Amino acid sequence: MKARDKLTHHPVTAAFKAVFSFFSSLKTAIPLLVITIIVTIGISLLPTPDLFRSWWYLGLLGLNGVSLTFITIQHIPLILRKKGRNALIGVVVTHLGILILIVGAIYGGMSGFRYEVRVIEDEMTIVPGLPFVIHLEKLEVEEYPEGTFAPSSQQSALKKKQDSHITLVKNGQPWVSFVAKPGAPGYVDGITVLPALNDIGWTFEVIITDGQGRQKIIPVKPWSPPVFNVGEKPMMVHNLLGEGEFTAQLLTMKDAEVLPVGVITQGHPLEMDGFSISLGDIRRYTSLMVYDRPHAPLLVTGCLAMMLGLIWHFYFRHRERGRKKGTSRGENDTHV
Amino acid sequence: MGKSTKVTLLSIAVIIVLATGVWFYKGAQDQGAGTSISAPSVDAGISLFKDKKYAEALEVFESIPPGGEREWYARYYQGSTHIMLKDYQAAADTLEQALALNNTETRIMHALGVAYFKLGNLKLSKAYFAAVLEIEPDNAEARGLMDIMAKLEKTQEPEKTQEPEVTQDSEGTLESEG
Repeated sequence: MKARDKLTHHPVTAAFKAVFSFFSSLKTAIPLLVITIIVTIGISLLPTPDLFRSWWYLGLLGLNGVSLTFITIQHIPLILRKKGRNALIGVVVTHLGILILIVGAIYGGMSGFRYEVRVIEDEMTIVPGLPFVIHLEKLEVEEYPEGTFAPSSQQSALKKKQDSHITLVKNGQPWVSFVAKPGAPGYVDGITVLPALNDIGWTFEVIITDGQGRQKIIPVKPWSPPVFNVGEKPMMVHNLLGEGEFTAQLLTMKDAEVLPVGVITQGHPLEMDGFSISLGDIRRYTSLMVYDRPHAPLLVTGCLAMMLGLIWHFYFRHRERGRKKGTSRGENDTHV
Repeated sequence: MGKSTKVTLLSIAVIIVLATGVWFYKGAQDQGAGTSISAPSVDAGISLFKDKKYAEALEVFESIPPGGEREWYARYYQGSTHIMLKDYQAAADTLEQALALNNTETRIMHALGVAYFKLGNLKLSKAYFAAVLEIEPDNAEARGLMDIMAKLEKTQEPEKTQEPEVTQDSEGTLESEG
């Protein structure tokens, strides 16, 4: 008994009891939950989703998990005594499901990643954080026949064929090659590489040659169009969407007004102020989703456990109620 | 509101404030990485590197065991030393290790761009300079080098063109001159 008393009054035991009582209290659990909800909504509205992976957010989730665990443990004897074993199974399995979801979210936040990257045909793309370099060797695109879709949506319309021939490069050497397409991603080492369905188009080069034959190459990416100078004139360029030959339109800015300068096509440069402006390489680009979700099995397990727990809980509660009703009716019959 | 509720809310608020403080502190520390190297061997190696004693510097860097918060810094200088010694494959391998340890450090990407250029891999070299520009759009040197790579790529004959000279500045970082 003395040894037991010693253990009960040991500072570590006392500290654990204090922590247990703090986290198993609804006065802690509810504010924690409310704070988590508010923070989650706040982060969702911010343009930096990386905060979902910040250690303090994951820590907040962890505290919710600790709180839920302690509350469940604390209430086990009460549920068992008042509602029976079946009710307890339902509660424990449901709470276990939530805990698995929390663990999954923390694990995913710590080890998973998701990048959206635009890759250009015949170019290598580096994404800081990815353990490889992406080389889009070729992008094969085949359109559906003209008239299949409404003219206005032709550019963003579904493609008959949209095959991205990708090679992943590690330490300067080709590592893995595969063909990925929308709906049919490539899987490498648990990492998924999925081409986007709609974010696909053209990048091109504008070559400015001065009177002395010196060239300047301006790469033009539609998602970040450059502003460059031809002589003293600030210029912008964009490709004219449509059928037929690839055409780029040059624009200049004067007094905050954008004015067209002319168009260039392959083999047809534009001469302007002693400069020759021509089209260089034209290449396709596509957007890729690159992600690793090692926590996906945990999330699925958590959801399943939660669902099973709830089904169990409500099934037995319903059955218990039915039995009680039946019993009371039977008792009445006997009395009658 | 009861006393215990107030204590609970106050505790949670204190936890959040402390956590935020530590988070900012850690972020500031990460930003300053590389400027406060304490390991004497790394300092010694950098000093030798700056004195252009590359063989000795390499010995020092290679003797630094893996691990440690600033390992990327030692590997970055080790890779840079390999470049100076014209061992470009070793440079690329070491710099890839450095980048794996610190994947947003543009100095490593820049050095990798130089190493892969020297190895004749123009596409990868261009990609590394482009990655520098993604992070530092005003980095004129990276932009200039990327333009050179793009032009060289068009000719596809890098060995016949004039190679940019790799030099070092007073800080020991790598520079390239077209």
